[in-house]
Amino acid sequence: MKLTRGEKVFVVCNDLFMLIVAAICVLPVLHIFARAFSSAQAIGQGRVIFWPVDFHIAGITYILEETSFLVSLRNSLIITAIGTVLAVFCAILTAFALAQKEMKGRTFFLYLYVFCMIFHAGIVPNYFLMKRLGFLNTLWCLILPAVVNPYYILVLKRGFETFPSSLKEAAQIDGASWFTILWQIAVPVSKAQIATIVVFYSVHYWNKYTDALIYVTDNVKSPITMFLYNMVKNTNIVDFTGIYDELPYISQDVFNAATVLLAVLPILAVYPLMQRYFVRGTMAGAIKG
Amino acid sequence: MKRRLVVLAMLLSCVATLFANGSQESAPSAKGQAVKSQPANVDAPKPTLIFTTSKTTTDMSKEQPASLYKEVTGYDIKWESMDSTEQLMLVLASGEKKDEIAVSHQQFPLVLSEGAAMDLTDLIDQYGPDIKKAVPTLMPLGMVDGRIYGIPSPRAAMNFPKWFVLGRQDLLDKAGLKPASTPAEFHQLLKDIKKAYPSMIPFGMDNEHPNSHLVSTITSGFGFRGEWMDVNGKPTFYLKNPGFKDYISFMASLYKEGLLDPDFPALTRRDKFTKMSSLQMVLMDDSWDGCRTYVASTTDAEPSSLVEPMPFLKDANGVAHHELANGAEWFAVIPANADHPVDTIKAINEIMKPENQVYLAAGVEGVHFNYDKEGNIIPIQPKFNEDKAMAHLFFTSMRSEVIYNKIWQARLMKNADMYRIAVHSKKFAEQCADNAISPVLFAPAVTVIDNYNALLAYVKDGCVQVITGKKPLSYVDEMIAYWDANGGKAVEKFYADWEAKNK
Amino acid sequence: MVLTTEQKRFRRSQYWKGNWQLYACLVPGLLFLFVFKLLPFANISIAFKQFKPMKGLAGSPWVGLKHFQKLFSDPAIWQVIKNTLVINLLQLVFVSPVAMFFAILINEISHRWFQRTVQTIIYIPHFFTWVVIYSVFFILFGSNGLINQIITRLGGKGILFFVDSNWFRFVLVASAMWNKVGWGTIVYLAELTKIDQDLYDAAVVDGAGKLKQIWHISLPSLLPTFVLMVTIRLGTIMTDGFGQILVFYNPSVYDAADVISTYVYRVGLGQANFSYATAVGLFESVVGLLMVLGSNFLSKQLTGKSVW
Repeated sequence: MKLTRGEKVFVVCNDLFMLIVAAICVLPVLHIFARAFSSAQAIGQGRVIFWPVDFHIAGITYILEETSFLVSLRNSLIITAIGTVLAVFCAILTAFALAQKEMKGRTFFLYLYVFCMIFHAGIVPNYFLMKRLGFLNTLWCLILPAVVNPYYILVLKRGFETFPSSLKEAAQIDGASWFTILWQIAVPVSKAQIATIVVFYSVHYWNKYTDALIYVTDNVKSPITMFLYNMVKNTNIVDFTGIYDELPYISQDVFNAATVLLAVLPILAVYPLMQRYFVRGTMAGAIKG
Repeated sequence: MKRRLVVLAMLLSCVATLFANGSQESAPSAKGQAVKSQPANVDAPKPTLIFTTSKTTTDMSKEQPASLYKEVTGYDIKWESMDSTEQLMLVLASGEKKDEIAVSHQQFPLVLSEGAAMDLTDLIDQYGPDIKKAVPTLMPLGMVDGRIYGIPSPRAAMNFPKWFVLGRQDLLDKAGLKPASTPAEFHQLLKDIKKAYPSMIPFGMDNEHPNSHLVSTITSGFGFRGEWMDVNGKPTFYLKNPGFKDYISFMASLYKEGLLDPDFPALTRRDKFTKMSSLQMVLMDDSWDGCRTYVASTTDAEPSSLVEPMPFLKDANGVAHHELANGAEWFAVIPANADHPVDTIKAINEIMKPENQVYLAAGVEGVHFNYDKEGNIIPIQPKFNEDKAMAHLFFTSMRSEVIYNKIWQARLMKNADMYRIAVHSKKFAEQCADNAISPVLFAPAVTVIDNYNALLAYVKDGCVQVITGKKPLSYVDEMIAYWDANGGKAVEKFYADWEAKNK
Repeated sequence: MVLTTEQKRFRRSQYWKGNWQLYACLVPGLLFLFVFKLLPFANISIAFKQFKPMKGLAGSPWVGLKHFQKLFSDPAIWQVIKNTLVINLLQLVFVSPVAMFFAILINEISHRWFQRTVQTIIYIPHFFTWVVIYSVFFILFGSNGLINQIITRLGGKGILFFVDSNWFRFVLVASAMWNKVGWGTIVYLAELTKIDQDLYDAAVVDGAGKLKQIWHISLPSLLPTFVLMVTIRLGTIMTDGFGQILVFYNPSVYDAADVISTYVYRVGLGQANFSYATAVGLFESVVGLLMVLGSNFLSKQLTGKSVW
C-alpha cells in the first residue's frame, strides 16, 4: 500500500504522539523509582529526574526492616489470592446461569444484581453487619464483601453469551447436565474471558483501601494499601505533639518514594504474565462480549 | 415484571424482619451502666483485654513493652490503634467490643454527648485506688456532674511549648540574619530570606491538626495565645480576640507575598517535613517531637544544616504570650458496653502505679537508665532505645501525673537534637512575660452543644480560606456571626459560668 | 393452548428436573449477595431514627423523614451534589472519548512491535491504587514539583494544583485520565480488530485517505461501544470517586472537591451524625438508581439494546 506524503506525515506524527502518551504513562513511575534509589541530597538539589543519583538503598532497607510493610504485604497477598479464587468461582457459576436464556426467572435475578450494584445501604449499616458477623479486624472483612461484584458478573455473563450455542445443543442432546456443560465445555472455551475476570478481581482486591480504613483497627491485619495510606496521607486528629516519634529518621522524600516503589513492585512483577492477555486483544473481546 | 417487583419487595421485607429480631441482641445494653458482678472464683480464666491507642503503623505486639504487661497487670492485653474519629465513632456506635480506648481531649466531648463512655466512678472507688493517686489534679477533667467518665492523662511535655517556629539557623547565619522579635521584624526577616534564598520557601505551615492555622509564635505578636484566653476577665474564643483580625491579615499578607508556603492548606506534617528535608524550606511552624525526622533527614541532605527554634514574637506592648499547655491530652475511656470493666480497671490500676510506669516506659534501673542526683532519669544507650523506643505508644492514655513527666524527659534524651530543640523552645516560652495556662484548661468537656468540634472545624477552614485570599478579611465577621448563631454563644456562657464558679 | 393443572405441574417438574443445576449455580453468588449487599439494609432504619449508641438501634427514637428534610435544607449539600455531578461529568467527558481517540491512533501505529509496546505501557497506570497515584501526582504537581519547576523555568507563574479549587479539579480529571484512559482503549481496540479489512481496501480503491478512512469507517463502528461505555459510566456517576477523592483532597478544596461519599464520611461519621450519614447515603443510592434507569432508557433509545 502506497502512502501519500500527507499520510506519511500523519503516520510519523501519530507514532510520535503515541510515544509521548506512553511516556506520560511510564515516566512518572520512573521518576518515583529514581527518587527511591537516590540520596536525599540529590533529591533536595533537584538533580534526580529519571535515573538514580548517588545510588542509595537506605529507603528500601528502612521500610523492610523498620516498618510493618512485610506484614501488610503478606495480608494483601492472602486477601488477593483467597478473594480472587472465591470471587471468580462465584462469578463463573452466576454468570453461566444468568447467560442461559432458557432459565426462568432470569430477568428477576439480573435486576436483583443490577439493583445491588447501585443501591448501597451505606457505611454505617455495613459496619454494623460486619460487627455482627464478627468480621471486624479480620481479613474476612476485606475479602468477603467484595466477592460478589455485579459489574464483573455482568461482564462475564456477556462472555458466556457469545459462547457458540451449537456446542451447547450438541451436549444437551447427549444428555449432558448443566454442570457438565459448564465445566467441560463453557469454561474451557471461555478461558480468555475468565482470565479477564481474574485480572479484574485481583487488581480490585489489591488496590482497595477504603474498607480497611473503616473496618480495621489492628495493624497486624492491615493490607498494603492501608499501610501506604498511613504513610502518605497521615492526618492528625489532635493538636498536640509527642506522637511523631515513630516517623522514620531518613529523608521523607526517599521514604515516600521507596514506599510507593515497594507497593507497586508486586504488581509490576506479575504484569508481564498478565499483559499478554490484554495485548493480544483476547481480553478485549471478553470485555466487549 | 410487576410480580418480580412484588417478590423483590417481599424479599426486602424478610430482611427487615430479620433486622427486627437481630437488633435486639446487637443493641449495646444498658447494663454496662452498672458494675458487672464477676464470678468470685479467682481461678476463672482472665479475659484478654483489648486496649486501643491512637493511630500508629507499628505492630505493637512486637514491641518490648507489650511483653511486660502480662507480668504487670496479670492480663493478656491486645493492642490496637484507631485511625480516625470516623472509625472511633463507628466502633462506639456498633458496640464493637473494646476494653479501653484512648480518646483525645478533642474527641472526648463527642464521646460524652453520644453517651458512649461508661460511668467509672464506682469502679474506680472499688478497684482503682492507684488511679486516683496517679491523677490527683486532673481527675475533674474526666468528670461530668461529679461522675467519672474518662481517666485523664497529663500532657507528657509539661511546661514545654507545643508548637513554635523553628528553622535553618545555618542559613540565617550565612545570610547574616537575626531572629525576629516583633511581627514587623518577622515580616522583614521572611523578605530577607526570600532575597537571600530565592528558590526556597521562607516559611512553611501545614493544615493537619485542629489549630494548625494559629501559629503560636506569631499569635504571640498579636497579643493572644491558644484557643481561649481571658479578655476583660471573660474567657474569649480566639476568633473574637482583639488581636485576631490583625493576625489573620498579617498571615494573609505573608501568603500573598509568597513568603508563606503556597501549598500549606494541602499539606500534612509529613509533607511539610518533606519540604524541609529536601531543602526547600527555611522556617516552619512545628515542634520538637518530629525532629527525629526533620532534623535527621535535613542533615542527611545537607550535613552542615542546623535547626533551631525561634523566640515568641512580642506584641505592640512589648509582651510575648505563650500558652502553657499543661492539661489532659488523652482520656482512657471504657465503652459503655464493654464486657470486662472490672478487669480493665484492675489492669489500669496496676499500670498507673509509679513503679510500673517506670518499668513499662523507661525500663529497669541500671539496665535501661540510671537516676542522677536530682532524681532525673538518664537513659543508658543503646539499651534504652532498643527496648523503649516505641514505649510512648503504650502511654497514649494511662499516664501518671506523678511520674510520667520525668519518664518523658528521659525519653526526650533518646535523641540529642530533640532534646536540644525542646530545651531551647522551653527557654523561649519561659522568657514570655505572659506564660500562662488557658483559662478553661480545667473546665469540663463542652457538652452544652452537640457539635462543638464541627463548629471549630468550620472556623478553622474559614481562617485557612482567609489566609489564602479565597475569602476577604470581612469573612471574619461572617464567621463570628456563624459562631454566635450555631452554639458558640452557649459555649462562651458555659465557660464564663464555670470560671465564675471556680475562681 | 390451554394446559390442565396436571400438564402444568408435569411441565414444571420436567423443567426443574432439567434445570435445577442452573439454580444451584446461582446459590453461592446469591448467598454473598444476600449477606453483604442486602442484609445491611436490615439496619437501614437508622436513617429514620435519631440513633444514639447508648440506646442501641432498637431503643433509638423514630424521627421519620427528619434527616431527609435536613438533607434538603443543608446549604452545604447542594454544593456537594453539584461537585459530585461536575467532577464525574468532567471525568466522563475526558475519559471515554479520549480512550476512543487513542484507540484509533494506536490502531494506526506503523509498526506492530511498537503498537504492542505502547499498549503494554499505557495499561500500567490502571494497576496502581489511588494512594500511589496520589503520591505520583503530588510529587509531580506540588508547588515545587517537576511540573511547577518547568513552568517557572519557562518564565510562568507557579500553579497551586492542590490548593486552587479550579486547578484541583484539573488534577482530579488528569489523575483519572492517567488511571483509566489507557485501560479504556482495550474495548475500542477490540472493536477495531473486528472491522472487515475489505471495507478499508474498498475505501482505498475509492481513493479515500487515512483520515477519511478513520472518519467514515473506524469512528462509526466504534460509536455503539462508545455509547454503551458512557451509559454504564453514567450509572455509577454518584458512587464513583470515594477512593480517589478521599486521598486527593484537603480542606482548602472542600468547596470544589467534596462529593457525597466523602461528605458522608467526614461530616456524617466524623461528627457522629450516624443517622444523617445513612440518610445521605440512601439519597445517593436513589439518585444512582434513577441515573441507571435513565441511562438504560437512553441506551435503548440510542442503540436499541439494554445496557444489561
